[in-house]
Amino acid sequence: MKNPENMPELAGYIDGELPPSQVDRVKDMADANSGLKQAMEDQEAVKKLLRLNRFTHEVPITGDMMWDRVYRAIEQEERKFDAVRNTDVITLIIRRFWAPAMAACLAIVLFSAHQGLNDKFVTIREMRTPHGVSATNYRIPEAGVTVIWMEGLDYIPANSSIDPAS
Amino acid sequence: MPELNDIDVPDMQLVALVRKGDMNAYEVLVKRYHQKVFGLAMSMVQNEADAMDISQETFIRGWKSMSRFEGKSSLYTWLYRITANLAVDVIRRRQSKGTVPFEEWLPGEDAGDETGKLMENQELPDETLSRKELAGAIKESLAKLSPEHRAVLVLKEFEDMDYKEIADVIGCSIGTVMSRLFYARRNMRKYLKGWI
Repeated sequence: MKNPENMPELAGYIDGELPPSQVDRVKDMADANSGLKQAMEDQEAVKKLLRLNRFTHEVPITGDMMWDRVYRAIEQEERKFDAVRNTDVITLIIRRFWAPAMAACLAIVLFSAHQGLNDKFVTIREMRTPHGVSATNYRIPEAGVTVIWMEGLDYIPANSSIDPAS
Repeated sequence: MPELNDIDVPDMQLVALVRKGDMNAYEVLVKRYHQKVFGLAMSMVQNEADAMDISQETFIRGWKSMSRFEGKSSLYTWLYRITANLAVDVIRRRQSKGTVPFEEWLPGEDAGDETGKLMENQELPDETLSRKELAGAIKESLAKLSPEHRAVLVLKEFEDMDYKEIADVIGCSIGTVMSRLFYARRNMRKYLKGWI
């Protein structure tokens, strides 16, 4: 015997929605079980109460006003759609990809500048002083000078032209 | 060729025109169903402003997706499906925020007036008061139901739909409709203790 707490067929029975094959079975079960019968009566009572007290909702606007709202909204959406449809591909790509494109350009510029800087300094040789300090001898072809970078210095002496080879 | 405004023009004939982009045909459909759509939305969300927004959104979505309407169910069932889904979303959002604007629904001086008026028969003043209290109790009880239970109960008892139609609207099986109705009524019985 099913627990009346969990017998959805009771709803189907009182709504006349059960297949004919189940109607008699559910009725017989309810007749034979007071818990089921009570559950069925409860279902019926709620159904009856709600049906007797149905709500009517007055629409606060007329059909014309509703159409006006809907029409405006549809028009607005279609304008947006048209705007997208009529925009050429290049513009769309620019709109969509301008940020990544800018980032890529910036990266290229920085990389080139770095490479350019490297090109300006040509390493002649690396050395170590008798005191164990490492030093590098650079030549700057554009300026026509040779400079030495020594460990511990945070700059390259601008007018240094010491040539350790000399 | 009948006039579009003719109430006898079948839905499907209007739908065919709408699919070709005929706004006049859609206007007829909106005016034909706006009360029913608003009524369902109102029964479910119990708030006029939300119900208006849902109604408007239903018709906007209806226009946009009319090409996908296959005509397997009636147009109003299809529109109800959009409405019910939107209403369930609104109820869920409210419940997740913990806000349920039922002030105008609670029993009181105005219960039963303006929004959610009970269908009234001739009755005595004390009966009217009692009916207003009952209206408030019913609204409060409906508000306690889950969106899914509320939807099937409203569609069954207020919109008078059969299980097949409800299943089409909700997008579930007939067995699920029956089960949800059973539990929805069982909960309503608990909430309305004293009235039944």
